[in-house]
Amino acid sequence: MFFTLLKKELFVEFRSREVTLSMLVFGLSIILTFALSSNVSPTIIANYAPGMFWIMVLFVAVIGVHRTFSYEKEFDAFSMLISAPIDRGFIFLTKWMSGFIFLTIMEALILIPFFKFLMIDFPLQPWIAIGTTLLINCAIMAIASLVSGIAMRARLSEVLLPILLFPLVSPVIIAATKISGSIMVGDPYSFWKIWLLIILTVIVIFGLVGYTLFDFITEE
Amino acid sequence: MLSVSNISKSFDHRTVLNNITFHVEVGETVIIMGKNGAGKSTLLRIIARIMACDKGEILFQNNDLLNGSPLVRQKLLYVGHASAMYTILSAIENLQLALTLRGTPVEISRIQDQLNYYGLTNQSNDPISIYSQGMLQRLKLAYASLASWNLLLIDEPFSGLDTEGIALVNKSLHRWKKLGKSMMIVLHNQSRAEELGDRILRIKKGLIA
Repeated sequence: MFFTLLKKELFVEFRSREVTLSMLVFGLSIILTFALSSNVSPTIIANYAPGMFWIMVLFVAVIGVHRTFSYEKEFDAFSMLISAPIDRGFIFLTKWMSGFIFLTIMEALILIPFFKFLMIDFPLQPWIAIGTTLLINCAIMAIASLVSGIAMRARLSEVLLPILLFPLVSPVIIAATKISGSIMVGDPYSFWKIWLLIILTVIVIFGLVGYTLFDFITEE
Repeated sequence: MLSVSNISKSFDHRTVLNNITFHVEVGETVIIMGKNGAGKSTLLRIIARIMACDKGEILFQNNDLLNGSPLVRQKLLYVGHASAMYTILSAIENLQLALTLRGTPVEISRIQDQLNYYGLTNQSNDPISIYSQGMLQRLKLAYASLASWNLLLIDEPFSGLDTEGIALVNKSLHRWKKLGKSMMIVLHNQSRAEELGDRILRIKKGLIA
């Protein structure tokens, strides 16, 4: 059932391209704004780059996750999922997984413009940077999928989503910034291990909470 | 078949359903009637577990519907006001998805046969976002025809249909009734309710009158 639901998520997005396109356009706009508005030395830019990158990813993730849940409201399509005789935890897992895939695709597309426009060097350990980025994406989307599931039934869901999400996701963004900053300058693993553990803890906790609670939070 | 006990539901401190209790027997067709806002659709959505109730208990085929396994809902089909399908997908894709989620996938040829029966052959590959209200109603009936169920919860099946569509709904409901299937139908038309129903439940001020 998990793969049927995941296939549906990916197929709907493949057909409409609404989520990835809106995420991409928004991400590129933020990069251009950062690049054109900052008039400081490359060293200062390099210091702030990880924070700028993860803030941009957060904004883009909000747009993506809001869209993946809002098309469920059109023609009450979500009723098809929740009235079906399936474990509703799978709905959360597939929303999480598809959100992770869309966010990763978007990052892959905007990473080169980000480094080029801001004129910063690529990380010294690219594979470690990619691995940690995937884990951070996983943590962001675990929280975002759960919060979006809670907010989708609310009248002002588009306002409620960032209000609930930003405080919850801020430890992940801080940890992500610390990890990326350390990797950019080639710090050893022991320097950023604690931040990685925070990310892993968030993945486990929000993954389990989302899977368990989705049965209740999806009902009107 | 279905046993609903003391179901209550309030919205913003306004009680819509107040200790509703009733039973539906095997093969019985129960019509739910009441004014707009009486709580008819709310009751069906609670039974389908789309909406949570404040209190009460529902047994379906002797299994706890509210707290039991999701598989308890396998033979329960809800067909609501809205199509409950994805606007970007075609009728065939939506039906394939809905039936697979119910654990009873069906071959495309059977889906096409049903769409043909309900007059949707020419639009079967179009996204349903371009469908009219009547076409969506026909699509829902095609879904109910293809799905495997023992109790159908159907909300205003005649709304938005032309004369031909009304005849199709009537025919389908009578066919299911003949097959000994149980149904709960929300209706507004008294003569149609008397014709189709074995029993009429009227909801008034949150109670069954």
